[in-house]
Amino acid sequence: MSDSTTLLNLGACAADIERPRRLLFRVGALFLFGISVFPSTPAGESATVPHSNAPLRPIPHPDLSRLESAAQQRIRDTRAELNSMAKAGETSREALSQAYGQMGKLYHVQDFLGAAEMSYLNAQSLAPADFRWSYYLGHIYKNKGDLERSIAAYQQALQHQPDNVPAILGAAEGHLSLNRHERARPLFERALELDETCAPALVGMGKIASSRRQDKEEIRYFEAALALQPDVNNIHYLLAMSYRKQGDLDQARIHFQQVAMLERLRRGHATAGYPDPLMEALDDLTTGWRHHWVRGMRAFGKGRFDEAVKEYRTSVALDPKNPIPLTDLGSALARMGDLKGAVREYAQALRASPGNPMLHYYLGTTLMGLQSEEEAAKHYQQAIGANPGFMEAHFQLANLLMRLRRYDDAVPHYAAVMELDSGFGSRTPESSPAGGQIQQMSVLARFMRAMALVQLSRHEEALAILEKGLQVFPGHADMTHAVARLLATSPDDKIRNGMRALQLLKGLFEGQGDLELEYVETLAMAFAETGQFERAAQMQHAMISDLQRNQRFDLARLLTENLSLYQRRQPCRRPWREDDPIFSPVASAMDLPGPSSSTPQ
Amino acid sequence: MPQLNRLILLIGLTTLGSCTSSVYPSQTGDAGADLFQDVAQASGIDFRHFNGMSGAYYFCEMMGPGGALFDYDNDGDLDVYLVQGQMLGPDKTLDDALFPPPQKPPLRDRLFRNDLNVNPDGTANLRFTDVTAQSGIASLGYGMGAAAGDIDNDGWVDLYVTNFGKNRMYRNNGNGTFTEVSVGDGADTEWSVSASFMDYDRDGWLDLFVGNYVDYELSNPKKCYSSTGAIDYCGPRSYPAQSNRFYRNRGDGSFQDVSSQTGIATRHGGALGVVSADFNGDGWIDFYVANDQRPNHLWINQKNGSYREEALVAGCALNRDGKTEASMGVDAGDLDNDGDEDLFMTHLIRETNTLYLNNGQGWFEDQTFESELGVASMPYTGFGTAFLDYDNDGWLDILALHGEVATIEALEKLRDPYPLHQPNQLFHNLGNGRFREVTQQAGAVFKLSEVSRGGAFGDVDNDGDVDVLIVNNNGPARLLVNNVGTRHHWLGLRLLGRDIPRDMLGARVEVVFPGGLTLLRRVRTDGSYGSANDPRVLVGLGNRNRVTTVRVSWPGGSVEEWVDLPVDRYTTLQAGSGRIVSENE
Repeated sequence: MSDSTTLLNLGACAADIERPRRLLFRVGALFLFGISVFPSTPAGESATVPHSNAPLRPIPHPDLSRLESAAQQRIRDTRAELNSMAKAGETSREALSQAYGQMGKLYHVQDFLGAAEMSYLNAQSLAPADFRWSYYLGHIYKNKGDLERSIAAYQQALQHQPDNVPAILGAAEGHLSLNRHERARPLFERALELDETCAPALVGMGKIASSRRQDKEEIRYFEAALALQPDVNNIHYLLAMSYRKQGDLDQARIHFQQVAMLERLRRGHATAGYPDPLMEALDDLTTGWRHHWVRGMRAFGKGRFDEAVKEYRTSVALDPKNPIPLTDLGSALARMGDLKGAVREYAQALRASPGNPMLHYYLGTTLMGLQSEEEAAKHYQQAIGANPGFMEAHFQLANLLMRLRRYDDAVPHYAAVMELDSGFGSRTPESSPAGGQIQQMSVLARFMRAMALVQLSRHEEALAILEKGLQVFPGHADMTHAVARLLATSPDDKIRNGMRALQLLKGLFEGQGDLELEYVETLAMAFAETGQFERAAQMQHAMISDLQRNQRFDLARLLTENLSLYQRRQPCRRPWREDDPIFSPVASAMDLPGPSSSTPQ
Repeated sequence: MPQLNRLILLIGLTTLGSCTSSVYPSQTGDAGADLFQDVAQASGIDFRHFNGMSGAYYFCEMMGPGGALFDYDNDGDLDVYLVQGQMLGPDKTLDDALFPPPQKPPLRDRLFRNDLNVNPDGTANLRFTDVTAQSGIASLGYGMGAAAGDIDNDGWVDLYVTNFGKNRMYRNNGNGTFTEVSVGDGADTEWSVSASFMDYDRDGWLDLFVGNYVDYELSNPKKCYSSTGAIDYCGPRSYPAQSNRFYRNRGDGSFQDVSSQTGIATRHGGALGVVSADFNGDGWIDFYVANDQRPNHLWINQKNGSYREEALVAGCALNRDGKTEASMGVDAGDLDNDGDEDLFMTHLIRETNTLYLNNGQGWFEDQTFESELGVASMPYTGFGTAFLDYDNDGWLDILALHGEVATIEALEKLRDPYPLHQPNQLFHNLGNGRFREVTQQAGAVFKLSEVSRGGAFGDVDNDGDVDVLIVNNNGPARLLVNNVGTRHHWLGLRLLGRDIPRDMLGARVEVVFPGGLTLLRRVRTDGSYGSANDPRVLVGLGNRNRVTTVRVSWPGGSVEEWVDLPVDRYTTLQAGSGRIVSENE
């Protein structure tokens, strides 16, 4: 089938119909003998183009089946229109060129590069002076990795529009990739003559300077580009590497940190950009809910939530009962702070996909942000009901129950998280701060389960859980501290051990500069427990004075209670105050839902 | 130093690829022939991979497999291990498979014993025998790759098989059979592809680094679409990356999970390729982890049992444009012969494969375009790869194995049943910082278009040049015998411990020529993609027929030298038998 189609199109203009191989060979043979087939091609869909002296190329038929129906239909309609124009003998070359160009753009935007290439070549053949077709061909060849032809296509485009900056950049970047700096340089310079704010040209000039070891020039260009486009990861990286090369590690680090942050948050732009109306026009040609949904996800991934909302809304309008774009619309609204809007969309998605545990989870998380805690708890419970292995739902519900002081209810959900994470701490939220403490959900669940048990005065159990955690994660600061505090202050005589608390705290403090206030507070508690009341009081007093100096009278007041205990030579027997924030884990921005799925590689 | 030479020869006679083998011209080693020739079928390797795909676009179905070249029976030649797939998907049977299985179930990994025979005229016959059944290895998981190393210092190399599912460690019993043993707490059920054996704490026992990919489950697959909205495979960014696992050998062949203590567990990258080497030249083993669409990681050994991740500042986390790339296969080697370990990794179509040159202190610079490796690789998606001096001219060349992960339009329109296949590429190092693609001259096997994944590299016929095992997804395994390496001189080395009869993975070898030119190589089995390589060190000498000095930096920290080693043959160097240059730190 495909063979015949390919052959059929040899020397024809826009054939959609399969035909016998015998006929095709005849056509091919004519072509081989140098006879133009166009004047004599038989009737049918492979109509001739009497206006052209050059043979047009066959347009392949890509497999459209994996596209959504709206996109398929649009391509079929356009191809049918092209066929009928080609059949009509009186069609002007310009009109046919436009039709081929339109066909090429539709294939191009769907990533059918082979079909797009042939369509553009035909358009170019029919209207050689039209800048667009050569320009698009430049992009097609670049995407195919054929940089020589890409450059040639851009150069051809520039013959018709010598001052077109995107085409100049296309050719220049092609030369740069091929190590032809001497040919890239004048093109970048020309782009800068035409527009001195052309950041990609500045980047290109910087790269050329870098290859010539012109360190100062290199940095000057990159800094100039950054001033124009400050959230471009690529420029920060180039600067970081330049400063590193020059030995200015402080400056390098600043830019490396920017790179790390932008990469982690997947914000900003990957590379310096320049307005490209022709390429932007391609995007407007696509249709279908999936297309807009994918575009929405792309924007979401870059942190451009308003743009994502717009795309998701279009997607929803095209397929109103589809829970996928509805869900992601909700998530994008949540990220923009429109939590009520998010709840509305999630609820709509839930109607389209009843019982969906992920949607219940999203609703729970969003309702938390609206302080509707009881409602949120219901949704988390429904999420767990639909999927008992939903670790995140267990975790969020447990945190919520802690805030609602339902410690008894929270404990089994934290336990479920620990049980479900068979890898024990192998799963970490993508957005967890790189290089920070281990913040795995199961580690936090272990810690919070212990805290819930503390609130229930089940200190021995709490201590056992924390001690087990320390065996797996030796040196974990929060767990070490919690163990020390229980050892120093628990009313349960069986577990109290002031000396060990001091040892643990000593280990915790080693190598640390600034100490957490609560760690120092625990140290005072441990001193008191070991009978060193003067030191305990001294330390407590110092902390209070420090807090007062910093206008934190609220905290200072809380510390005076223990100070008076120590002054009376009494140890503390209450590990944490009941209202200690440690018992009320708060939802962070990290907990807000992301896109429900994502694009492939 | 005549007494040293005598000792070396004495040791050399008793070990793998010893000097008795001299030069074994391959049975296909005609001058003027293709650079490589596939002899898999002819030599008895009748393996075809089954990926278990049923049209559901399961992520894992197009990510394997790999394999191993390792001498499991200590008979002096490299044997072959190939991992197999299984039917994928709940309630799916083999009847649902889009491509039929190559054999009746059960499908399992296979072990082929190399029965290399050297003829009286010096030519060699390569013959493999399937010994899976008698080996006791019953690996029935969905295989991804393999790693090889002697975990109990008994002189018999053991095998670690990575799976989509639980990984398996097979201890070599020394009698042709293996016994499965557990690793750590047995919780290593993450999706792993590549693993590396090395001795990170210098205690003389091989430790194990396992690269884990993403948290993907067949029971809850996401539906993914291409950027144009067509249904397609999901990419790694669709799933949370998993942290890698690091196991410390307790000194008895059993392992303790030290992922957290070492700091390794603090990063999640979605690892596909892993290579260990001393990147900053401090004498301690570091790691480079190639992550798929996330920044790559460079783990620098802190010499106190912990590691610090430094890839970003080192300049090898991202490409020259500060972009993450879809890193798959990776290798380290001294590409420019300046005495440090450079890096090369394979990437997705429309990205380039990337070359990072090391400045000697562990700082890298992306030299992809300058080396002319960039543009040539853009039309391909690469997986297995290695620095290999295929022509033994003293400069490390590059082989990149290809196969797409998303439908190729041109193949789809031809109704190709598996439209992911691409030809592989071979690049010749010109010795001036640049490479020239020599794929067209490499032989008929390079004209094939397949979905290649793993590649294992080693001298299978013991003739002194590097052969290649290519493991294809949904296709046959290929064994590429090198036809041209022996046109140049070479030096073959096997490095064993003083009291430990195992290959000293991580040892650095400096080969010094008259005039002072020095080549750096190292003992390793890791690198590439889900594959284990020949631990022997093969050094191409070009037209030089003499080596002044061989200096070995052992993983424990001591440095020894040997002089005037014989060329064009393998010699075994045992720690303690050379001239001590420096003791352990």
